[in-house]
Amino acid sequence: MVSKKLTTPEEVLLEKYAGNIDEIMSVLTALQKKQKTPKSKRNYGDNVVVTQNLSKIYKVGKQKIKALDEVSLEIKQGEYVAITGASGSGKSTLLQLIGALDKPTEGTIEVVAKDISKLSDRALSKFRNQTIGFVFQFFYLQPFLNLKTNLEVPGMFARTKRKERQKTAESLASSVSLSDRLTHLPNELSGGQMQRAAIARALMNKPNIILADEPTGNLDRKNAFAIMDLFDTVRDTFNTTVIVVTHDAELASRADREIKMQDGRVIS
Amino acid sequence: MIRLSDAFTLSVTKLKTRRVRLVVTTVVSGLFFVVLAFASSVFNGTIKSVEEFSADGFGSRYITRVDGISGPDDYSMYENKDLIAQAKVIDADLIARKKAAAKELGLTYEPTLEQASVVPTGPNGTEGLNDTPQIQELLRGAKIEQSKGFFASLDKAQKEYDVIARYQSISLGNTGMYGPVTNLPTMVVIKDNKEKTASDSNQYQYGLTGIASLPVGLTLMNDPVLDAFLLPEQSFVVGDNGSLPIIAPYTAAEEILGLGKLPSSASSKVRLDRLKEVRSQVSGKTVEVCLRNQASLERQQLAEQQQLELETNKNKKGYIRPELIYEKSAKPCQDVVVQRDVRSAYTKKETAKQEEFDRRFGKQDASQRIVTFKIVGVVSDPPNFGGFSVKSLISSLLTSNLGSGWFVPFSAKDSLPEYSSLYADADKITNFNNGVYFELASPEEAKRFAKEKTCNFDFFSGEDPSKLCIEKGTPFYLTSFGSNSVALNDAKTGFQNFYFKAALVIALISAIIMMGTVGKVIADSRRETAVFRAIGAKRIDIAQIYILYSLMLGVIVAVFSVGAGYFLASILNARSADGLTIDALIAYNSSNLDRTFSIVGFNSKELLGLVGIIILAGLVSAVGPLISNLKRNPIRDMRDER
Repeated sequence: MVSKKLTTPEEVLLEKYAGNIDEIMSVLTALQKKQKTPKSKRNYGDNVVVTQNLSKIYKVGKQKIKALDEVSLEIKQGEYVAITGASGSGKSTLLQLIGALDKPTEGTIEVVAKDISKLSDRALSKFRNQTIGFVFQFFYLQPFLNLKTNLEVPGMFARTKRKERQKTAESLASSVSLSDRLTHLPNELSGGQMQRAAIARALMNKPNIILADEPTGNLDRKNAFAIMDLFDTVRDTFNTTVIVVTHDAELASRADREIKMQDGRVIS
Repeated sequence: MIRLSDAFTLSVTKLKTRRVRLVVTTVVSGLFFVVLAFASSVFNGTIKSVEEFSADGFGSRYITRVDGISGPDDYSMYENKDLIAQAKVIDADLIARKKAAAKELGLTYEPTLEQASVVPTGPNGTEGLNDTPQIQELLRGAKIEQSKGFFASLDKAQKEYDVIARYQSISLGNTGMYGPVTNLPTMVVIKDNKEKTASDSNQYQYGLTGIASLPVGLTLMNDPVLDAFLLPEQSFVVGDNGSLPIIAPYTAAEEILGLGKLPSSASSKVRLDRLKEVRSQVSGKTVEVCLRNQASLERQQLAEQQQLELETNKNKKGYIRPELIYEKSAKPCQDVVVQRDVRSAYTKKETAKQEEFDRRFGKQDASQRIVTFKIVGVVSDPPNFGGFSVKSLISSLLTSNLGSGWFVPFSAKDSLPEYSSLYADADKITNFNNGVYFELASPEEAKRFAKEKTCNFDFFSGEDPSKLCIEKGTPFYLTSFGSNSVALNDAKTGFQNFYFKAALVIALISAIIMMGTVGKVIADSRRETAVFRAIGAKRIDIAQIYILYSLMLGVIVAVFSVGAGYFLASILNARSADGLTIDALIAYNSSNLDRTFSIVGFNSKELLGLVGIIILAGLVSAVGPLISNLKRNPIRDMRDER
C-alpha cells in the first residue's frame, strides 16, 4: 500500500478522527465559527449573572463547611466562561447556585436580572426550565427513551406542543450532528454522542445560559475537545452564555474567560 | 402539570426498569386477586348457567312450603276428655251392636277381645285415645277442627304477601294420610308380570330410588308445579285406557327402560347419551301397580303363610294340613286361589256367618285392581352429597326437584280409584303428608315472608312451640321448595358482600407488596428525579409521573389477576363443564339438550370493582415513597450518585 501525503485540512481531520464524520463535522463547524469571530473581537451583551458576596455554608453533622466565600462576579450574555479549580474549590457549588438548584447562605445572586434566592420552588422550576440548560458529567439521558424523545424532555416540562418540540429536537440533533441517531437509544450511542445529545437537550427551551458541570469528565481527550468546541459553536449560534466547570486548564483555555477558584474564593 | 401523554411516556420508562422485580411484584401481589377473580368467575358463571337452565325448569320460581306448627296441642287431641267420652260411647255402641248381631247370627262374640278406643296411659288413671278403626271418623273431625287455625293463618298470610299462587300436595303413598287406617288400599308395584312382595314396599323407606319408590312416594300435586317437568309432546290428560299421567324420578325411568345404573366413573358423553336415551324412550311408557284393599292384602299374606307352612312341614309325619288352603294367583293383582277346601258344611256355614258379621261392621270383601300410570315427565332424584370439591358444591346447587317422588297432577285426581271417598277431607287437614305451598312473586317477597312468619323456636326450651309461635305471629315452618332459587339469590348478595370485603383486605396486603416495588423504583430514580428537577420539572410533575406509574402497575396487576383468574376458571370449566351440563340437564329437565353449563362468567360490577380496588392499591402503594422522594434535595441526590 502506498501512503498518500495529506494536503487539505479535511484530509488531516479524516486521518485524525478515523473517519468519524460526526466528530469531523463538529470540529469543522467549530473551526469555521472561530475563524468568523476571533475571541478578542467579541461583543457581549448585558450581565446575565451577577453575584455579590455570595457565600454557601454546608452543615455536615456539627461541622460547618464554607463551600463559597464571598464570591462576587459578573458574566455577560454570550460569554463562554470556564470555572476552574481543584476539587473542593467551590466551582460546582457556584454553578448550582447560578442554576437555582440551591440557595445561598449569604450574599445575592441575580440571573437574567432576577434575584433567584427569593423565588418560590414553583418559580424556580420554571426559571430552570426556561432560563437554564444543564449539562452533566454523566449525561443523564433517559435509558428507555430514544434520542429524539430524550431531547424533548425539557419541552415536556415546559408544556411545549408536541409538534413544535419534535421540530426543535430534530433541528438541535442536526446542530450537534446526531440527525441519523434520532431513533437510537442512549446505550446505542458513544460517550461523545451522548454528551452532544445532552447539550442539545439543554438547548431545547432556548435558555439564556448553559451550565455544564465537568461535561468532559467522562470523555476521552479527543471527545473532550470536541465538546468544548461545540459549546463555542452553541454560543455563537444561539448567543447563549456558556458556563463550564472543569478542572482541566487545557480545556478551559477554549473558553473566552477563565474564572479560577480556590477554597471557595475567586482568585482570578 | 405536564401533559398526560408526556407523563405517560415518562412513566412507561419506569416500568421498563427492574423488569424481574415488576414480574415478581405482579405475580405476588396479584395472587390473592387471582383467587378473587377466579371465585367471581366461577360463582357468576355458575349462577348464570343455573339461571339459564332454570328458565327451562323450576329453578327461577320462588315457592315456599308452609307447614303449621305442631306441638303438644296436636297430641293433646288424644287426651281430649270430650273425644275420649265420645270414643267410649262409640266403643259401647259398637259392642252393643256386635252383641246383637252375634246373637242374631248365632255367633259367639267376646267383647273383651275388641280393640278398645280408650286405653290407660298412666298409673294415675289417665286415659288416651287409641287409633281404632271405629273412631277414625271422630279423629278426622277433630283434626279438621284443629287444622282450622292453620288454614285461617294461611289465608291471612296469603293476603299479606305477594302470593301469586297457592298449591297443595297430598301424599297418596303407603304412609297413608290418616295413620294406620284399615280401609286405605296398599300399592304393590307390578314388575316383570309379578307383584313385588308387600313386605318390600308397604313400609316407608328412606332413600328408596327407582320403581320401588313409587308406593311410598306417590303424591298429588298441582299441574302448574308439575308443568316444568313434562316431557315433549306429553300432557296431563288421562289416557283412553284410564292410564294416569305421572312424573317419574330419573332413576325409576332408567329402571323402567331396563337400563342399569351408570357407574360414577362414566364419562360425560356416556351420561349425556343415557340422558337422551331415557328422555326419548321413557316418554309414554307405563308402570303398573296393584291396589289391594286390606282384606285382599290379608288373604295374600295368609296364602303366603300357608304355602310357607306347607313347604316347611311337607316331610313331617303326622302333620295335618289345613282344611282350607289358599295360594297366590299366577297372574298379578288377582285374589288368592283356593288350593284345597275340605271343610265340612257346618264349618263353611259358620265361616259364612262370621263373614256376614264382619261385613256388617265394615270389613270389605277382598278387592284388587291394577292401576296403570303413564310416564309423562321426569324429575331428578335428590342430589347426593359429594364432598367439598368445587364441582360437587356446584352440583349441589343444581336442585330443581320435588323431592324423591312420583307425581300425579291434581287434574287427574278424579281418575284415581276411590279418591273422592278416601281423600275427601285432604285439603282441610294439615299434617306431614299434606303440603301447602305459596309461590311468591319475587325472592325479596319470599325472604320477607320467611323472615316474618317462620317460627324460630328452641325445641329444648320445654315451652309449647305452637302457642309461643302463634302468639308471636309466626305460625309457620317455612322451607324453600323445588329449587334453590331463593338460596341462590341470597348467595349472590352474600357472595358480593364477602367478595368486596375480601378484596379490600387483599388490596391492603397487595398495596404493601406493591409499595416495596414502587418504593424501590422511586428510590432508584432519585438521581433521575434530580435531573428532571434540574431541567425544570416541578414537584407536581414528578408526582404525576410516579402516580401514573403506580396506576399502570395497578393496571398490570389487575390485568394479570383478572386474566389468570379467568384462565383458571376456564381450566376448571374445561374439566367439569360436561359433567355439570349433564347434572343441570337432568335437574332442570331441559328440553334443549344442546344447552351447556359454563362456570366461566363475568359480573361487570365485581370485575370493575376488583380492577378499581387493585388500581387503588397501586396508588396507595405510591403515596409513602413519593412523599419521601419529593421531600429530598435533588442536589444532594445528584451529589450522592457520583
